[in-house]
Amino acid sequence: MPVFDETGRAWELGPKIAAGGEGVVHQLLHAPEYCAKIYHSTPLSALKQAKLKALCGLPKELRGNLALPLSLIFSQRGGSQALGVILPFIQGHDIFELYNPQGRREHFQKADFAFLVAAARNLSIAFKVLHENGIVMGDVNEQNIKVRPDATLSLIDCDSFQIEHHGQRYTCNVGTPLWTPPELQGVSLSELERTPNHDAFGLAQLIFLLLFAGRYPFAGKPLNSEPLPPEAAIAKFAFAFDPTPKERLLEPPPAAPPFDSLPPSLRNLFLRAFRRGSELPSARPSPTEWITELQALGGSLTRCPSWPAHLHWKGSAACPWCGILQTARVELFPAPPGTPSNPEGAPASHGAWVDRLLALSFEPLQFGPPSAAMQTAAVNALELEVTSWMPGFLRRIPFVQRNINASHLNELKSRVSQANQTVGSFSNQASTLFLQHFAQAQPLLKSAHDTAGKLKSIGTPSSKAVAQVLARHQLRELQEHLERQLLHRAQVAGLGQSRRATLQSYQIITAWDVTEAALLALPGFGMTLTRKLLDWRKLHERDFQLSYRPPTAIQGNATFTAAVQKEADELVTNAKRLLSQINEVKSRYASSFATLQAAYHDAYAKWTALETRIKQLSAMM
Amino acid sequence: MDEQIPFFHNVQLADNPEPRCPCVVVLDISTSMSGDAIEALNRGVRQFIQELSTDSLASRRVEVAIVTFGSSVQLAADFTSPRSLLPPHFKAEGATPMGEAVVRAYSVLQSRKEEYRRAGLSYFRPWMFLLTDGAPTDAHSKHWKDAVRLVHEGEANRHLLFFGVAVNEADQAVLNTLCPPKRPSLKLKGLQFGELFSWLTASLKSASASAPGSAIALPPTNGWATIEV
Ligand SMILES: Nc1ncnc2c1ncn2[C@@H]1O[C@H](COP(=O)(O)OP(=O)(O)OP(=O)(O)O)[C@@H](O)[C@H]1O
Repeated sequence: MPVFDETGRAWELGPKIAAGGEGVVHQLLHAPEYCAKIYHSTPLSALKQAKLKALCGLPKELRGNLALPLSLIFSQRGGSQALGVILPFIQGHDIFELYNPQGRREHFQKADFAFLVAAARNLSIAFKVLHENGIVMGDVNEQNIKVRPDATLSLIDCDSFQIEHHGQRYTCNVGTPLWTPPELQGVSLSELERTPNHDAFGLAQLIFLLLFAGRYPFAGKPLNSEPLPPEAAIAKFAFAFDPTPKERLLEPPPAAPPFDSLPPSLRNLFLRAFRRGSELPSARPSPTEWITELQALGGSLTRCPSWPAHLHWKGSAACPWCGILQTARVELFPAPPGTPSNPEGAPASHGAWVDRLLALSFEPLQFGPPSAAMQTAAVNALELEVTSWMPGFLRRIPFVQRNINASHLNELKSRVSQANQTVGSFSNQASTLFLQHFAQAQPLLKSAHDTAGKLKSIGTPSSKAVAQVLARHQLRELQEHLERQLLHRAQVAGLGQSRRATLQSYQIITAWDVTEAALLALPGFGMTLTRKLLDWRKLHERDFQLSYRPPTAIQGNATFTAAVQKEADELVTNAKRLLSQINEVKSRYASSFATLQAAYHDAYAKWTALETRIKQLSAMM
Repeated sequence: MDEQIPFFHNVQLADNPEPRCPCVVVLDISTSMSGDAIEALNRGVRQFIQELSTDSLASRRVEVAIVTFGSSVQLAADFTSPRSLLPPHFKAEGATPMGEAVVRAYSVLQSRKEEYRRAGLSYFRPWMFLLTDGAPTDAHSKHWKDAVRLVHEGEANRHLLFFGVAVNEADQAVLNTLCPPKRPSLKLKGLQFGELFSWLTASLKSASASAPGSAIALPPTNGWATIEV
């Protein structure tokens, strides 16, 4: 369908990109840099149309940050009732896909903490520009900001913004409870004047989400058993990370970065944004204040020595991401694909390897939906099935058409249940495939856990190296003790002068020298005497055992340190090998799964195509 | 080390801190559902999971569990994100222990909420969506009384949103004693499970982008009823 802009130029609407509450967004054919939003309820009110027109007339400098409409569009050339607007098409992903750890792994694989800080700063810049031009976003939310792969971003859904144009104010009448500041919770938003201080709440919440791994400032562990839903928590200013709240309703959630992993000046901005008092005019931090602090944070990041992909503020007591890995076994910043997991030269501490090994898991993969193209192709294939052999003129006769359709419909119906079962059978195949690979991975996971356990106990008496060192120490002490026990002072029945002389001449002088082998080699030493001498030695051994205290401080001992190092090296080598073996099983699993998924997509597309055709044909009957 | 290795780490909670919208689907798979009905239901459920998985925000917020009742009451799928739920294939057999199923669904929901609380995640008002084509065979048991009480209390405290849908010859009068008075059961037209589950998907999308307690704008139930929340 052609539509016309204000200059009378024709545009052809392409496929639908997305549908929102207010309208449908379409591609424009042959103009990939633009799209068109067509409103559900047309004709638009005079006020709405005037607002859209005013938006088109806002300063050009704003376009770098906002997806401002370029022109109204009409169904005829020179029309007066607008259907919608032409918008620049904004590439990128919704901002929640960036701050959510799962979304980040899917859509922003290379984004490390520095990237998140940069995005937060760019976001603040966009709001600064907006506010300087007298615009208030109003409906700040997770779906109205698109982030590009270089951390720049654009605000979309501009038609809801509050703007002033030629002395006329156009309000923002919508909001999302999860994003509404405390002072506006439960308040009717229609015709309400929004202020930059309202936007400052949403801005602060977005920055918080970006810097705190997707944690919501108002979500935490409730202190009493009653749950505190997000909007109630916001209304009560229950900022879960506040270290000294007036009244504590929520504790910070587990497995979240600690509040003091950021510099005090930034923490202070969050407290000003979320505490009671923030609702007062201009109380919340302005975009400029955020820009300054985020700029400073970007310049004071450091790399964690145990995992180079972990970037954090250099003043933080510990690496927050290692902390989360330890408590929740979740790696929030895996090394981006293609980089070695532990680049040479970056020494990983034993602790880091323990966490890495314990975080290993092997989970089933899930089928995604087939592509739209595949589904369309399957529908087309079905249409061709019946008619391709028939000359065109025959197909166009209504009677012939109806008959073909009727018999085709019956045939399709007979196939649909089989097709559905085929689709259903894939879940069994998927489980089998998973279990096959899991069987290979399980012993490796078990070893990984064992290795982690050994690494953890390194330097403690239960570790192999320490046990060896201790055993050697004890033996040496025993020897010294026995060497102090001189034979010539021994009271052993039957040991006369001549025998003592024999012992002496054979260099058997202390208890340490008294061994069965040595005694049996002596001339004239019978079994009885030998046994008695050995008993005498045992007596002193027992004395030693009773008084021996293993050393408590062998840490500084060079042998000990070397032994520990050697054991650690062996274990880390083992850990690396296990990691790569598990990854190997994972990638074998992934590639078999991809093959299965392709078959599943094919079956799924065929089945839905049958359903679609059946619906179409039934409607025609 | 004698520590056992958990089969799956439940990393979903730490890895995805979005607020959750739990929805437990309670399905009648008693003998009377045999034939076309169970096939249509299987397809509908599969489509439901697929459609939810393709919505980027809803797939991070909505969690689905499936409880079935027939020969016995089964937790066919415990709460998980739609992306990691492989819908089972249901076979129709057995009676209609609906009360027991609702009680079970309620307890599954309670323990999931407890997990959210421990993980420090907020959640939207939970949904319970029940589909039946018969009358409860345990209507005179304690289970049924408990079920009615749990649903009515949950609704009154705004801790639960309950929807009852009647298929075919279902006894709507009995079903309505379970449903909250302000939201009586709906009757499904024919076997249009596809439309029904598309509606459920759309409703969950809008509920999970909103917040609990606020009026959720549910899409119209094309041809089968209007629902006010
Ligand atoms: N300029 C654009 N470039 C790319 N995608 C866009 C653009 N504008 C809108 N979209 C996509 O279309 C969806 C709906 O657009 P928009 O939010 O403007 O519609 P709406 O009817 O106002 O919806 P809502 O109910 O969310 O307010 C958006 O979530 C976005 O993904």
